[in-house]
Amino acid sequence: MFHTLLRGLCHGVDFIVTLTGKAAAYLMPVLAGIVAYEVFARYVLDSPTIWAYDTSLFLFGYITALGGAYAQQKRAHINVDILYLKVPAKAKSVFNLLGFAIGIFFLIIIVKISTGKLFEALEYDYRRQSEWAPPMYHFWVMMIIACSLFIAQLVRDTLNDIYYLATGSPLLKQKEGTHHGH
Amino acid sequence: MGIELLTGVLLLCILIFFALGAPVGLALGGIAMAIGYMTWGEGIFNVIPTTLEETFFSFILLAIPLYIYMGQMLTKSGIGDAMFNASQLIIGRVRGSLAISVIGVCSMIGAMVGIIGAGIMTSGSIALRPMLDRGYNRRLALGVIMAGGGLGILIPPSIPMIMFAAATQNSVGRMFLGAMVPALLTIVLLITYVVISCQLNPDRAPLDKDNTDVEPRTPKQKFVILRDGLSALLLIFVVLGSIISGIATPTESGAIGVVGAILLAIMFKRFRPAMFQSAGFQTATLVSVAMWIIFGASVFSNFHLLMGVQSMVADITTGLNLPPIMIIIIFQLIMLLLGFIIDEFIIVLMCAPLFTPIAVSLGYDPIWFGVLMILNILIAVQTPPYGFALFYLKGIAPPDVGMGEIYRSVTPFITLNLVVLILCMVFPEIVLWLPNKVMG
Repeated sequence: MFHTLLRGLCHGVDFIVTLTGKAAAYLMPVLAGIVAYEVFARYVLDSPTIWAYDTSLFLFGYITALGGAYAQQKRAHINVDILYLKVPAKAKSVFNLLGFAIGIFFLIIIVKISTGKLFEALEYDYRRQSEWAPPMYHFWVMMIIACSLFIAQLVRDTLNDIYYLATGSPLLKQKEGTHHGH
Repeated sequence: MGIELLTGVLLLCILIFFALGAPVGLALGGIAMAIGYMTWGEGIFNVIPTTLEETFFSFILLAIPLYIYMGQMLTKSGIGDAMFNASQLIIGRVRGSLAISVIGVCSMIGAMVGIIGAGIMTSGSIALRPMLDRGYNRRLALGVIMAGGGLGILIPPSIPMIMFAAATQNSVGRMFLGAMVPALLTIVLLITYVVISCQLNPDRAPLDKDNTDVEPRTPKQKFVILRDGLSALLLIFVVLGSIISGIATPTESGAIGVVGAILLAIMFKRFRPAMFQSAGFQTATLVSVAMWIIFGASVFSNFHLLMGVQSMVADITTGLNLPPIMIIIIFQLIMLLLGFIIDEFIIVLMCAPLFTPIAVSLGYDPIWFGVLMILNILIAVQTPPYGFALFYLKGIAPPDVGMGEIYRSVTPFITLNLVVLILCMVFPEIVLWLPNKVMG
């Protein structure tokens, strides 16, 4: 029962993180298109846009912040693996627990701070300091979601490692779970 | 806690968490905030929103996804093969021509990819097999791939240079121009080495005509090969030219490059709509990784700067009472040592804001210092035993190549890079002449 619940939780997190990561990746061509259009509008149409600058920066933030959890799922985040690759599997799990813990701590602070900024932005109607002046609040909403997903992914990975340390067998079959190292 | 003790504690924590294999961006941010909270209180968390806004709303850093996207599109577009074929068509009769083409072509590709790891992987996937198939000496083959792929961070547009410019408020265009002459110098030296070494040991690089698999080409085929190769070269000049001439910002030139890459792919008949998606995916992941490191490292360095590390380093450097150039050499040594364990992004992000103001206060040009830093990193990441680029090379090498052979294969090329670094240090004009000439 508990086992099934844990597995269900892991699959749930994997599903949402993958979905968000892929959705963010689809914005990449849009970002390139907008910056290219701005150059075209300025030199060929001779009428620079006021929206391209802020929109491209927002997209940049959305793609990279939301992609963080997905990159963790793919174990793409860079780490120093000189020692890590040489220790046995159980030690790797202990290493992971410590490494993920500091990450979760950092992300929780970001969520907390971003929530404060969100209320501030809503209350005082903060906007980008530009001609177009789009509102800022959605950026903080996105940051909260991005960091929460990142935390969820790290918690899921932590659970996996705890389960492995406790039982000696992996929670998910190798194909389902993401594998350690890169 | 005094700043000296604080710095010691921070470094110790970094050492521990890096050794544990924690994701570096999160670890740097987490360590800074945890230590900050203990010594300073909750107020320190205010570093986060300002750092968030300055990293995610930086139009300079926005160049990174665009260049990486361009690089991804280009590698899928067949531009590498096009340039490689064109280069072979022209210099195919020279002994060691494949190795020379690798240096030339891979440095271009590496430049467009802008990251060492990706440069080596891309170069290796295009060029390693042809060299080994034609009986090239394995060490020579691996060495030139490392040299060519690694050049990626030295030849503009390069991601670490963009990071340096963003971290020290310098002009990206100036930085690119400053690196141009050292990069050319490096390429010339590398090619000279390959030519001389192949003349002395002809069996290291058999000539093409010794092989039967090279089919003669009709004039039409030759024309197509040359056209494709030249248009690939043209794209690189357009991207760089648009920055230098001031038509587009470096960020915008990245977007122009993406459009150019699509046009080239259509021309090479390699274009598939699915490319958009797969290139977009890889780019999004790479850029997420880069941005989380940039963000975490910036939180760390903003916190450390707030605590007064700047004046500590300044005090130490003046306290040492050394001639300015010795300070620069010490900085170089520190970065060289760091490069043994951490990758190019983190060195730039941690050292640039710390060392550059001191170099400037000693009367040196920030662009010169930045280019030295890039040259230094280039050497550091391929220096045994732990230069991390070596592991990328190991990853693409045939399975029976051991680490020892990898070390021996890169040694001559690292030596040449070191020569360039020393030359640039002794003669700053090598770096500064071009930017001063073009941008005043």
